[in-house]
Amino acid sequence: MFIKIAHLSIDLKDFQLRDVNLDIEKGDYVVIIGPTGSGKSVILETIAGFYTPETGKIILEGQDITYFPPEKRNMSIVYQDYMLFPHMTIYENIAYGLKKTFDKGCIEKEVKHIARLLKIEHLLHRFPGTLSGGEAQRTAIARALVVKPRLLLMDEPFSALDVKTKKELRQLVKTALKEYQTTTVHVTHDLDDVWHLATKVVIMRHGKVLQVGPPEHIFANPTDNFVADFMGANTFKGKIIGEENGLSLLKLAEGIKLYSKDQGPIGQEAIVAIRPEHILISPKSSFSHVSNVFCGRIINTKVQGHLVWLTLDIEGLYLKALLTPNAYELMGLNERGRVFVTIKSSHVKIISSSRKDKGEFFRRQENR
Amino acid sequence: MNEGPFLKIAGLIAFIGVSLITVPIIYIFIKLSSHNIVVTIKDQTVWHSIFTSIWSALWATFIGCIIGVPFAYLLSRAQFKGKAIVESVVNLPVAIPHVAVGIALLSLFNQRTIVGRFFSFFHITFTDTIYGIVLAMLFVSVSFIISSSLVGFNNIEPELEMVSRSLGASANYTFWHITFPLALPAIIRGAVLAFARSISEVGALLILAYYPKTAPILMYERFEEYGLNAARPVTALVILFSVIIFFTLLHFTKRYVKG
Repeated sequence: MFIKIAHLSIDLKDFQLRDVNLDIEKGDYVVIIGPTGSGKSVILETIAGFYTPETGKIILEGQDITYFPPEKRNMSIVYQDYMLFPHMTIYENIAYGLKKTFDKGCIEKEVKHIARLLKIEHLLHRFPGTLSGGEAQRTAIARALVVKPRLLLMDEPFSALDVKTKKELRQLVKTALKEYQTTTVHVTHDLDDVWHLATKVVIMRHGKVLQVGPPEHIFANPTDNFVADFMGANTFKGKIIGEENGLSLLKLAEGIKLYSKDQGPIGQEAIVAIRPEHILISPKSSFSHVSNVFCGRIINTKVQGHLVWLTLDIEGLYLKALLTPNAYELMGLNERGRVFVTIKSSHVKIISSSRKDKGEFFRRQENR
Repeated sequence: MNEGPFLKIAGLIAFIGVSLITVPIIYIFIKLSSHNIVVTIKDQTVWHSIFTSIWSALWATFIGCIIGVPFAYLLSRAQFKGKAIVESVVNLPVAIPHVAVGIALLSLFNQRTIVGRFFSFFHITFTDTIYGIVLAMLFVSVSFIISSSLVGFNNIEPELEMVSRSLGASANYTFWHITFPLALPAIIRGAVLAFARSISEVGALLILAYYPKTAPILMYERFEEYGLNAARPVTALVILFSVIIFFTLLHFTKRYVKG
């Protein structure tokens, strides 16, 4: 075990952690997700050593570091607001953590290397105040990675960026982490970070860990209602078989073809996730201009709170969908009835499937 | 955007405000006679008083920084019982009439009290000495350094310090390389204000340390003994010096604020 967090509790009045247990393997990319106030930032700052827990232990590679000061842990942290040192140039910012251990020539080599990797070479002489959000965050990530931390902690690193910058930065981070082989814990409330980066997902609420596991496992098997509402999505195995008008064409194991706005190399196996509330249902086909329209049958309905959960059968593909009781009644739907199912291509999410463990996960699913 | 007559009225009021400050100062210079200027420039007492003022004010500012900066850091970062009371005590000197400050200091630091005797053991006495001048100046000016530094420290996000720590820097290294440089413009601003406040002090000095005479005391004395015409050349010289020092410091501060 690389890092073991055992029975961690802390009370900071506004935020709490309650008996948090978490195991992290070397090379994991852990994404902690949860609503605001769930204590997900506190757990990062406790791992980093900014808070001392009331109970519990943090064991890093067999060593108890619970009471180590932050500077003895070799973990770097990246914040949402970049937190670049405003009185230093970009070069000095990145070099900051190297000053104590390396000589000048070595520092320059390391800084230039990471700057090239994160495409901020041309900014090295500038001051943080003159950078765009994306450039500032790339600098912060460079500063954190250049010291080769044992653990990289990121607190909502992409949340202040626009959608396009976010996408580019996720890709850059992936490349950089691969080269530096850094184990990462990333706190977010953005499901896209889970889709694109996570090898392990931790769901938190009210300072407690609700569920831990590989993303596809959690999406498919949420253990409690909150997780289901927060994360619950339909997941399918498929393959990217082509590209049309900028959309990826996917073929699912069940034989159905789906268009997705997410991109991926043709021929690659992929997991597709669709959230229940993104599935539009109508008794008649009316969205002919939308890419994904299917004809299916309602095979099960379940009323839960203020919502109706439907299980749909589209040529052997089982889909969970959500409706309000009003909509259900207005459309005159009933069990066994025929419906048209529409899914916008932007709502069909491709979870990257370059990781080994996923293949195994599929096989287990198919065997069941 | 059309603000109507509002901007014009505000402009008029601002003009009156600026005139209120500049006209009396300029008038002093207009009323000078060349004979008076020559006499004043040749007067050793005048130069000695200006030197005493600047020298004591520099010391008061220096000691004020040594006391005030760590104090402000403590107020900014530590949580303790009675913090609110301590914070309001800091600003108390601004609210007390300065003659009262003089009387309070004289009561405590005269040679008949324990405190006075303690210091005289080190050959330091406060009545009518430069130590007394520095003490009075320190009392009336230190709150400027504390409040300004406090704002400086409070404006630094704690996350910046956390990032520094996580990158392997000790708390001490972080203070000198991150916290202190970032708070420096605010500290300097406080020090400039404290220096200006010290130079202009007269009320407390009248009571505690009339001698060696500082420039404001000398002006007051000339006015009391010989009248307006005798006081004016000294005053003009002191104003000239104050303006030069103030703008030099301001320029110096600006350079830091930019970085």
